[in-house]
Amino acid sequence: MNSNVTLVGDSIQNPANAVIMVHAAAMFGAACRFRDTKGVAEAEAFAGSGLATITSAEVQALHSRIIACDNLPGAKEVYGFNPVRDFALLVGNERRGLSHEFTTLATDRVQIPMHSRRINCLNVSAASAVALYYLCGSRTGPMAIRNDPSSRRPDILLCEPADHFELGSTIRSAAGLGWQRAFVEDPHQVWFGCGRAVRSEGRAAARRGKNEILLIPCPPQATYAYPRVTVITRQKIGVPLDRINLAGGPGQLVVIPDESSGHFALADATRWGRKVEVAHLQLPAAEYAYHYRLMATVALAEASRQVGRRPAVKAPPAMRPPIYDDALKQLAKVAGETVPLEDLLNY
Amino acid sequence: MLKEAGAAGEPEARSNAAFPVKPRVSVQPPQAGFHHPAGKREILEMLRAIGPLAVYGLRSIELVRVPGGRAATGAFGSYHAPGRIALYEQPLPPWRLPGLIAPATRRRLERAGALLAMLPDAGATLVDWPDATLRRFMLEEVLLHEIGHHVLQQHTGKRPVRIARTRDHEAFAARFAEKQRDKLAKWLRDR
Repeated sequence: MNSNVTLVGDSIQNPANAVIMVHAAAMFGAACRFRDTKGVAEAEAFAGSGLATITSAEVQALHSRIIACDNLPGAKEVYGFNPVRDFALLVGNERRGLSHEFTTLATDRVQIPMHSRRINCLNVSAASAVALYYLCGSRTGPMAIRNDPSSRRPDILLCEPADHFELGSTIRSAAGLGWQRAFVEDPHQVWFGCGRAVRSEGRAAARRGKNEILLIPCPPQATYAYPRVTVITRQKIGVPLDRINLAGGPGQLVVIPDESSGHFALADATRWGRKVEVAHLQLPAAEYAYHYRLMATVALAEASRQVGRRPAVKAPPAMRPPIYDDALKQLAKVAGETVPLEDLLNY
Repeated sequence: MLKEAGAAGEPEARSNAAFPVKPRVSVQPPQAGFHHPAGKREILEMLRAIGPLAVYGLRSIELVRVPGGRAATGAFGSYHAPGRIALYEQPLPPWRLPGLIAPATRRRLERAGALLAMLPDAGATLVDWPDATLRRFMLEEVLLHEIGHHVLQQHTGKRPVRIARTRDHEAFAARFAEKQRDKLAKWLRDR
């Protein structure tokens, strides 16, 4: 356990999110504590273990550097942000974000850049995992700046998801991070052809009402001919995630398999394309509770960082308001006065 | 709502009903050897005499020091869109100005009561301001001229953009000042 890093949830109201935040913190060896104003501690999920709580004074006493992760004014991009080793990461309520008390507490503000106009934030637990990945995991650079980032965006395949909540949150992340379409290979029928309850819960997690991403169902065991296939897995094989090129454009397929029920069979990957690469998330913890949304969102965030964004357009300088002067108008400016010699001598 | 409930008085009942919104008049103390010929009271009286046309949209009238580097140019005032008039401090009379001043300016100064003496040999102009003539010049010439700029800017478009050529702007301000002077003279006669 990395006692130098604390993930702090401020007024989290969904117990499921709180549980996954605890697991996300454990993935990066960090502690996770909550300012519980919504009664999450009384939920069944925390009946046995209890909810670790914290106050603003305790946050200040524990850490000198307090980083608020929210889309606040003046927040820097989390990519390339270089904190010290000892910090607290604050994330806020699902709907309201960070409270004023915790916002004023923060010494730094970071945000995960969103590309969608309609999905302007991630699920709080997924956002926690992304922030922890970039703040205490890999040392990556800032987001790439490109004139045409859409030409570098790869296709994504969400492979064999086992849980509709997890898949819904991942679809929300994909839309928020800029993807306009995604392939879904759904043999467990958690998205296509599922029951009404599963369907509505999954769509709610994906914010389907405003999420315009196009989801394309892929039949199981179908074959494709992508020139380049990149599989992102939890297994310690291949290269670390931040060292693989994920900005190969439409000729690249990024496969994110759900490995909650076991390891993904890499031999199976050749059916998507000729050249198969494997990348893995570098996580400090060896054992952790697996959540598809966390792994997938971190992978998508890294791909989004590499794909980049357009350069910021410089605003034209504001026009100077007119000024009208009233002054003496002289016939001709003289360099000096002509003074007679006798006047000068008398002076 | 207050008016319907009878809690608010009629506008006429207020003491300054004819002059409901005053522009802020601020005074910056002048430098040594300079003074502000017209004070806050005189400026407000002048605005009251002109009426609401001059006040609408006018944010402030500032009696300020001459900006650095412009002391020798004989700056009297300036209008900064939107709604700010600056009246500059003036040296104590008499003035010895380098160079000969333009005939139009000469007529303008003499109309306000200044006594001018041109010194072509010395390449200078002597300007004396007896009694309250300099105050009158600042109010009736400079302030009215700047208000003319404001009126044109305010009534044509409220945004702080250039809405006319500088030459046309100046011409309008001069015409406005002239008309207002005539009205003021009539008002003073009637009073």
